[in-house]
Formats: sequence, C-alpha cells, structure tokens
Amino acid sequence: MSQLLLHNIFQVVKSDFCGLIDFKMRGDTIEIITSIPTITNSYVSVFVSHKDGTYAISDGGWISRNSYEGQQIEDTELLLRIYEQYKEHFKIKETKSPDGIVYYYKKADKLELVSAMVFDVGHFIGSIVNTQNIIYKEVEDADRKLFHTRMNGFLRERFPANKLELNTAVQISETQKIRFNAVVHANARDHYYVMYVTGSRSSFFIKDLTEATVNYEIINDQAIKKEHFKKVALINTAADGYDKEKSGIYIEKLASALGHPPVMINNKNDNLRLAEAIPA
Amino acid sequence: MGQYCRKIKDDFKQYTKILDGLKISVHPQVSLNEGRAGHRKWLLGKSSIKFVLNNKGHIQIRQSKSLLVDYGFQVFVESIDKPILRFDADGATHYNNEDQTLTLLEREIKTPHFHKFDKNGKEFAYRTPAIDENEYEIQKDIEVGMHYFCEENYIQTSTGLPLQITGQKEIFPEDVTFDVHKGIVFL
Repeated sequence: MSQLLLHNIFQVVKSDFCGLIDFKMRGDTIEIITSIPTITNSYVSVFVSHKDGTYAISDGGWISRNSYEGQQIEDTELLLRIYEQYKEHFKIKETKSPDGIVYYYKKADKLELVSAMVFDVGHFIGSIVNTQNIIYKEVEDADRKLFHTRMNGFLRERFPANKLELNTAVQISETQKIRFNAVVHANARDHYYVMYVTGSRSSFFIKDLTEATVNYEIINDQAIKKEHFKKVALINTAADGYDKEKSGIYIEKLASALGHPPVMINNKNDNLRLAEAIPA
Repeated sequence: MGQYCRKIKDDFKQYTKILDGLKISVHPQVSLNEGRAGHRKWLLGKSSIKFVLNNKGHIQIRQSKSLLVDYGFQVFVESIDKPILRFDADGATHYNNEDQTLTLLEREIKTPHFHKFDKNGKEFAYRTPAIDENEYEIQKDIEVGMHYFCEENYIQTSTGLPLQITGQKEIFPEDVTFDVHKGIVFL
C-alpha cells in the first residue's frame, strides 16, 4: 500500500473522529458531546461554563440523574473502591446541587487547559457508567455461585449420590414441578427439601427469601405430604445483601412456612450447623 | 439505550403490525403529577392505549423536575416489559452500533430522538425531518413533542386528535433548570 493511501486512511479516520464531537447550548453552559461511548449506547456529554475567571467542567449531574440509563444499583464496597480509583486517576472533584444531585467536576484557569479537563471528566464518566453496568451482572453471579458450590459440596461429602438430588425439580401435581436447590433422602423416613438464600445485594437476597417461602408454602398446600418430609432453608448471613432490618420480615414469613427458624450460615460454624440441620 | 428484547425478535411480524397500526389513547388528556416513592424526581402521567389486534397497553409521560427540558414518552404493550416505542426530548446522545454499515458519523443520534426496535430485537434511536425542522419548538414545549410523537407513531385520541397534556412545568431556555451549571458551587 502506498504511503499516500495510508495517509489518506489516517485523514479519513481523524476527520470522522473529529466530526463526532458536537455541542448543544444550554443557557450559560455548553454541552460538549464527546465521542466517548458507554455500553449503554450513549456518548458521554461534558458541560463547560465560565464564571469569575474560572472554567468549570462537569458531568452536569448526569451520572447522579442516571441520564446514561444504566442499571440502577446499590453501591457495593467493590463499586465504591472502583469509583475512588477512577476519581483519583482523573483527579475528579465532587459537589452537590441544592436539590441533592451530585456533580463530578474539574476546574481550569486558562482556556488552553479546558480540553485536558474535558478529556479527564469525559473518560471518568465513561468509566463509571461502564463499570456500573458490567458489575451489575458479575457480582450477582459470583456470590450465588460461591454459596451454592459450598452448600452443594457439603451435601456431597455427607451423602452418597443415590441419596442426593441437587438443583432438582420436584413433581407436586400432574402438571406442575417446582425447583429446590437440594433434596436429600437421608434415610427411608426422612426426606429434606432444601433451599439456599444468598445475594450480593439486598434485592437479590430478598428474592431468594421469597422464592424459598413460596416453594415451602406450595408443598405445604399440595399433597406431597409424605409423612416425614422435612424443610430446611440455609441462609448466608455473610452475604453482602444480608441486611437484618430489610430481610427481617421476609425471614419471619419464611420461618412461618418452614414451621421452624431457618438455618443461619456464616462461614464460622457452618459444618456443625449443617450437620445438625440435615443429619445423615 | 441499547435495550434488547427477545420477545420482539421472536415475533417481529407482530411487533411491526402493532407499530404500523392505529393506537388509540383512552384518555384525550393526560395530567402530570408528582411521582411517588422512587420517582420523586419526575412529574408523571399515564393513559391506557388500545392497539390493533386487541392488544392493550399504555403510554407514559414524564418530565424531570430538575431539568425541565428532559421529558419523554414511552409506549408499553402488555406482555413486553420494555417500552416498544420511546421519545427522548433531551439527555444523552445515542449511538447505534448494530448496523455495521453505518459510518462513524451516521451512528450518532442527538436528542430529541425516537427509539424503536429492529428485527434482531435491538433498540435503536433515530431522528426524522420533523424533528430536524422543529427541534427548538419540541424542546420548548412538551405538547409539541407529543404532537410529533403521535404523528410518527400513529397515536390518536378517540376524536382523532393528538394527546393533550396538563400539569407540565413550562420550559424557558434561560431558566435555571435548563442550564445544568446554574446555582452550582464549584470550589
């Protein structure tokens, strides 16, 4: 390929990249639409105004207002650590509007420094929005996977394969099946129907609680009234999503459906508690 | 926004019929009220809609209290949890990356813009000549926005007119709620 052609390629790319940048006037502030993409299919906007000899460059409160239409999630410890890293890297400051909207910003004294600030604030916004939307899925799956693996592992150690069904659908009527995390046929008499409760956020945790509760209510109602069927719910109190206050009322409902309290697991006394709850 | 809807992909013919068909708003007028818990930052209003093929749904209108130009409309049909049609008067510029035949510049879609779904169940943003020619009026008046939204999506009241809106906050370009930096202290 000739040098000229290669150069032309560069010119086209440069021209198009530059062409992406656009603006909107907003009173005494200008919105600069950057070419920085988010995985929510938006371009990042950076807002610039000039007052008392200083330029203010901010996100316009758009992260706080969820203008990039990301997943609205609670800030876990992991997320907050990630935010701090990006804030530090791009040297971002923070302030609030009178009605509580957070603004992320930088300042500049000279016009020639504004581009660098737009660069920093723009990439900060993109990083935060993208992080929020990726973390949303991963953290949830990791927590669930870990707890389920641990509980399954414990049961596999204590019970042979022919006595243990993991992640199994139980027939409760001619046409209906419901799923339990485990069913343990400990011996001829005792059959344990087990549900796991965990969650990296309280909303996931509560979902697990309600699913377990309804499952037990269903088998209470249905004629799976084999004489010695037993119900055990295992609650992961070490989970990020476990909040005594938020979960309290749901745990009460679960206990009602169980007919006894659920088993609280917390990494310290697991084996003993589990052995007591589901004896071989 | 890049939403993906499996149901629309699975039955795109049905989606197209609904899109192209007449949509009747049960109420001729929608009034915006303060949102309740979780939605306090918005003024919200709603009207039921009848679609062709006897489907039911609703249209939702919202206006941001902190940024009055940021208003939008969403149309929902029963059994699909995402809005099948949308309009955003303000907010982030969208980019369409599903159609790989678009040039870099063609991907960029500024607000105001509409949204709908393609045959792969992927949402995309687009503008029309009507938006290009009336952008300022649309941004200044929510009823003008509604007029063009109804026109684009074949939405009418039972008298054949576009939906009317009451209770909205009037938008003035010089207003504090239009300029995102007004009233903010940057130390």
